[in-house]
Amino acid sequence: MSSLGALFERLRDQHKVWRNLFFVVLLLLLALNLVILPDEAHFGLDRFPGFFALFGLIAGAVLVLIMEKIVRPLIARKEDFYGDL
Amino acid sequence: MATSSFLHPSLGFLILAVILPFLPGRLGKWLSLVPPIVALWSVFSMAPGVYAVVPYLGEQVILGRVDQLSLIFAQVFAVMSLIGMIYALHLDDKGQHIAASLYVAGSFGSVFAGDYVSLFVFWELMSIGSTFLIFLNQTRESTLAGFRYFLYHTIGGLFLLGGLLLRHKATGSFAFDHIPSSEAAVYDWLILIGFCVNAAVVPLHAWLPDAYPRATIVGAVFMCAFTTKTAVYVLARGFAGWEALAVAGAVMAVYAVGHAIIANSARRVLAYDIISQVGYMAVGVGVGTALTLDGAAAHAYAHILYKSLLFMSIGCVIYTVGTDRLEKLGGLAERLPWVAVLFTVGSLSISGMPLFNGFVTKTMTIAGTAEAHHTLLALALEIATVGTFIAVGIRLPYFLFWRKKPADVRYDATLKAIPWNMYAGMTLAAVLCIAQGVYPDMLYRFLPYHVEEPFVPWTAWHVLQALLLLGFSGLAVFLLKGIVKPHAGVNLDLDYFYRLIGRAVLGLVCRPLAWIDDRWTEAYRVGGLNGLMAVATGSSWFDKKAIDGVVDGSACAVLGIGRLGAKVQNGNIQDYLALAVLLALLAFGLVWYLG
Repeated sequence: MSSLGALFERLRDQHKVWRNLFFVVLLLLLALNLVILPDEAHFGLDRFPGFFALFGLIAGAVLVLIMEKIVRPLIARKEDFYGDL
Repeated sequence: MATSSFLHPSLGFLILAVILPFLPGRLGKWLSLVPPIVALWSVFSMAPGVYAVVPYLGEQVILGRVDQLSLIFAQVFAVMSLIGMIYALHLDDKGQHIAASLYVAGSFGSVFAGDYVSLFVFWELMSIGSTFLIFLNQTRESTLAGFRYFLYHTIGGLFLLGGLLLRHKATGSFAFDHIPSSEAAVYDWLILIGFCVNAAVVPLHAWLPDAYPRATIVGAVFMCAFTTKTAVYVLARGFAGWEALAVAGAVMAVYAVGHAIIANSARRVLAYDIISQVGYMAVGVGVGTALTLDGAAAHAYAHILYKSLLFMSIGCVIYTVGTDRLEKLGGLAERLPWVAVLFTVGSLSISGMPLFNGFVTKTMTIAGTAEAHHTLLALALEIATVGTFIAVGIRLPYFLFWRKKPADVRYDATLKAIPWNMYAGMTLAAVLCIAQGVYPDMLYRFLPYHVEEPFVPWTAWHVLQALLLLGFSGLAVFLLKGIVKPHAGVNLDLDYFYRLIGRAVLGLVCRPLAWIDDRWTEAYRVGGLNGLMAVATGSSWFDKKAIDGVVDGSACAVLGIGRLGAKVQNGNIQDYLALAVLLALLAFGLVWYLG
């Protein structure tokens, strides 16, 4: 195993640290959003701090939920459904 | 006709495709780098103008319309052809180099075509070249997918052909120029449909995720760059400002990213994401302001670089491990660390992360769309951005590289080593992705339209907005990580219907044919065979008595021809297709020369 690969393995073993760092960064971004705002609001609500955070969270969750829970069960088939393999 | 300062970039690729079969392997491989380098030089030394106007069948065929719009696409095609040929350098299968060369030649030809006749010819050349990049994977799956792909593109090509002929009848001209949406006639819509097939506009898109995951490793790298982006170019050229296109683009962006989130083969995830990203470009073209058209061109440029990088990285995974199915992979960061790094560059670029090129092009398209007061379209593109980050920025790298190797996944102790040239191709693409992200001006300076207030991506707000959007969609996945899992199997898409149509047509054609064939065989057995026997007896007598000596020599010749014939008529329709192309090119050349 190369040294870079070993480094990646070590980093993965500390995934709890990475997760906490991720949360801290998210909080920091929200704090920055209180002072940095768009010059011109295109969507109306985006002049309020936290709009794009909420948008990302909700859009992401809705996309994943719809696709995994509703769409996939409808359209999933076994690997050789078409008999091409 | 000033051809002196215009060297058509297709020329080198066509010459390469013709001479490659006769060259020894090693020399041929290195020579495959020459046409891309010549193309690069040619594109950077071209001045805008109209070159290579050739009279053909009483029409003026314009092979070299050079302006800002064709130049930026030609430039990225030249860069991409170099990246692709470097990545393909280790291949012993010359067929792939030849198919890729024809394909790239077709793309360059389409971009510089100033009239519909030459556009159509190059358009079909692309379709044929790319079909062979699928066939050459040489599995049953890829052969079938290749036929579906070819049929689909032939039908798309027929729409284009029908449109351009009707247009010529109505207007008396083959000129390929902008068509204002207010003056649209039926033939313009036919042409638009033909273009939309290649742009994979939903619902005409299903050929793409059907074919690309089944192409050869190198084939998919070339295909992800050229077909859809040539289509974006012709749409920007002919159909800028068509509202319908903008709406279709938003549908593409969201529909395809949804599929990308649940697809199980890594290359299929990327294939769906091509459709989604081309959706941004279609919105840009459809909205049709200078800023959105620039955004579409810039996004096409960036997209070619990062998407090829992603396909190249997955190609490395398939090359070493033999599969791209997510449930059969995991923990590859330790085994293929550099591939993981390069893939990450591509996935952050496509997600629009600051410092990477997607950030400077995606924001431009969305900002332009919002500024043109298409708020809903812009919102759809923001949703697609979230989906892209989930599908390619988080889900793919997590399951391929970063998660702990599942217990039931086993790799060989020593993985097949990845050739240096594959790394070289990927590194070149990755460096360009980052360079354009950090210095957007190296891309912006080539943009075709004049914008009053140039777009500035690197503002505190744009950076913060991108980070908020991506960060919190990441949080959504983190919270829902229990349900984001790879599942073995395929997901249905609209190709289900065209397979049905295909079967129905096959049934309609085959049954009567089989019936006729049966009757014919019977008639032949009863009538024809007895007659032939009688003739044979007679001629055998004549043969023995008279011409034994004379014929011996010509028999050898006949035998030779017979052998060639047997070799050609091997029953593989793929080979017939190749032969037909060869004959068509010959006929084309002859008509040109004699006419």
